[in-house]
Amino acid sequence: MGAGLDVCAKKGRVLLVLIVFLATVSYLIGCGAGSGGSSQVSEKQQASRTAGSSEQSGESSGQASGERLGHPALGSADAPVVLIEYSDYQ
Amino acid sequence: MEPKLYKRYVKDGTLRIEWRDFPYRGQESVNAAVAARAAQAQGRFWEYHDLIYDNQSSGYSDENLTALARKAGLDAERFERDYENARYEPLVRADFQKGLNAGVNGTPTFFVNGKMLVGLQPVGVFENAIEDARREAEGG
Repeated sequence: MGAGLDVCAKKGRVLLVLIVFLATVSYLIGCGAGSGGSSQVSEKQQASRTAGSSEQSGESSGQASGERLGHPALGSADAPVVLIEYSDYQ
Repeated sequence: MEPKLYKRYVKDGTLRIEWRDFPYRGQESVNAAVAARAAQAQGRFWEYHDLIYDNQSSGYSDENLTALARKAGLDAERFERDYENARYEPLVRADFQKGLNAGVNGTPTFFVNGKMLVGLQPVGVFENAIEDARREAEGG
């Protein structure tokens, strides 16, 4: 009877150790994945920012619809002399 | 730009004159520049440009700029759409930034083949600069 209790207690300790071990492993894996995840998120955010800035450049090619206008000019594009005037309407 | 220079140098292919916006006197300056670019999109930049200068005293309210567009014979609906959406404002801002980078800090500022001339100048100054630039371009 005493030996039976002893075996039960041993089994209980082994079970407890197993549970603690599994919990620890699970926690560690969780942290690792978490940090990996947040790094991915961060990479994604970075990528998104990069994409955002290219989109902004793209908008400046939405400007490009404007840039297709070129600069207002008079005279031949092959003229040897180019006079550029910076001006304001005020 | 001086009509004399246009007649003497642009017509014979010696000179090309390019406009850059440098609206440094506030939002109305920017509005006028954006409106002129909307006119450019309809092939009437210079007509509109001249009208703006001729009507400087009236100011550059949205209403005045739109009225000038009608006067210039622009498609008013298209003009208003482009103007109100500030469609060409990025171009105007880009010119302004390029001007700053090139050392412009007031208007008018000219560059004749890269040589800077600041402020209104007698025609002779431009003629000399153009002749010098032409000689240099021809290798003389």
